[in-house]
Amino acid sequence: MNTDELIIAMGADAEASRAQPEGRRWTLSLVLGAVVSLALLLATLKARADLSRVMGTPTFIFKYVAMLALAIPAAWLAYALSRPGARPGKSWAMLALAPALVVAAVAIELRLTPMSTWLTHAIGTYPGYCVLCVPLMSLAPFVGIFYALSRGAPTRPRLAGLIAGLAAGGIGGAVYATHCVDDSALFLVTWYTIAIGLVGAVGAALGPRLLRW
Amino acid sequence: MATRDETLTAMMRAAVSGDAEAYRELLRALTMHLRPLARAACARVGLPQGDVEDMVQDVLLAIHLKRHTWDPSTSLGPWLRAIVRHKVIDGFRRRGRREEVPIDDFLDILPAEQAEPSPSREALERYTGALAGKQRDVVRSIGMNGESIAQTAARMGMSEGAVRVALHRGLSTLARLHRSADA
Repeated sequence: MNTDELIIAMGADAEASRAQPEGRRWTLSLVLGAVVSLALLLATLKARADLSRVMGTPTFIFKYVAMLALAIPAAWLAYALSRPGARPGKSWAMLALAPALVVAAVAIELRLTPMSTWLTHAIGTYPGYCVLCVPLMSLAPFVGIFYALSRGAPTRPRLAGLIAGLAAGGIGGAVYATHCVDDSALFLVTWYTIAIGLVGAVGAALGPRLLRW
Repeated sequence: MATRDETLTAMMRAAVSGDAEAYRELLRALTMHLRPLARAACARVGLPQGDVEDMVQDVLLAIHLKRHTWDPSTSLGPWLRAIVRHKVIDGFRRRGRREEVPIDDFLDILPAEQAEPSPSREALERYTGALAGKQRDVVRSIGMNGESIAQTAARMGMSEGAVRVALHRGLSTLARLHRSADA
């Protein structure tokens, strides 16, 4: 088939099939990934037993705030990276939000708690569990975001994979926070960071392989 | 006077709102720009001229299959350049070349040959030939025999929906075959 004939066929295809808007695909993928992950957590690990007691406490709420402060800008950036020629520009600065919030929370905690408790709080009750389960809870969001990315056209697949991994890690972290009994900011800055960093690294490694087009 | 970018943007806007003829006209205009670009690029890195049309089709398929990633409220130029750059570099990499090719101004350079005929189909047959059953028949029926979706459906005893699906999958498969060919 020569190029003219290919163009005839592409014209017929364009007329026959309209793609659904990209925004909707991304929203669906993100929501579905988060819902599946939360359902998985509630079915297996379950919410922490003292949920109703801690629900309104600042340290409990802060974990969600920090995770979503990472997940939302990262997902937005991944969306931008899936569109050739789009310049995320200022959106990059949004990635600093979550680290800034966590550093501030750590500073507050260090002021309010005696030094003798710092190490205990940083190690927490279940550090290994956190590093294992946050990536597991990130799996469904990871698949969703990579699906949306692969339908797009990322011209920098490694970077797009990394950012997608961070977004999935943020969602997975928020989901896991429902189970996690360690509320210290020192715990968060240590173990959640390691766990989300792992998911980001996997994303960066898989990006060039899965996001070819 | 409208710039080249504005003209192409207007054509693409018409195309995404369902105007197949505007879309074909746009793709033909782009081909006139892509061919000299691919020819210069292949010459530059020492690839045979036989790869030129292959690269052109590869880029056209990417533009087609990823057209939903273009935001119609923006101009087409930056999107197009990013796609072309990505596919040209990708095509080089598959052929073991790692050079950079300047493509920023490819839309500004007026094509020298206005109505260059498309090269013969034999050289390109290996891709369509590798398509499976229905996809191949449908892509050929519409592309090579100029039949409409309705005519193809009637002749092949398929529903129009099935023809649409086979056509779209056929084009996606073609893009994948380009991608996995080690040329």
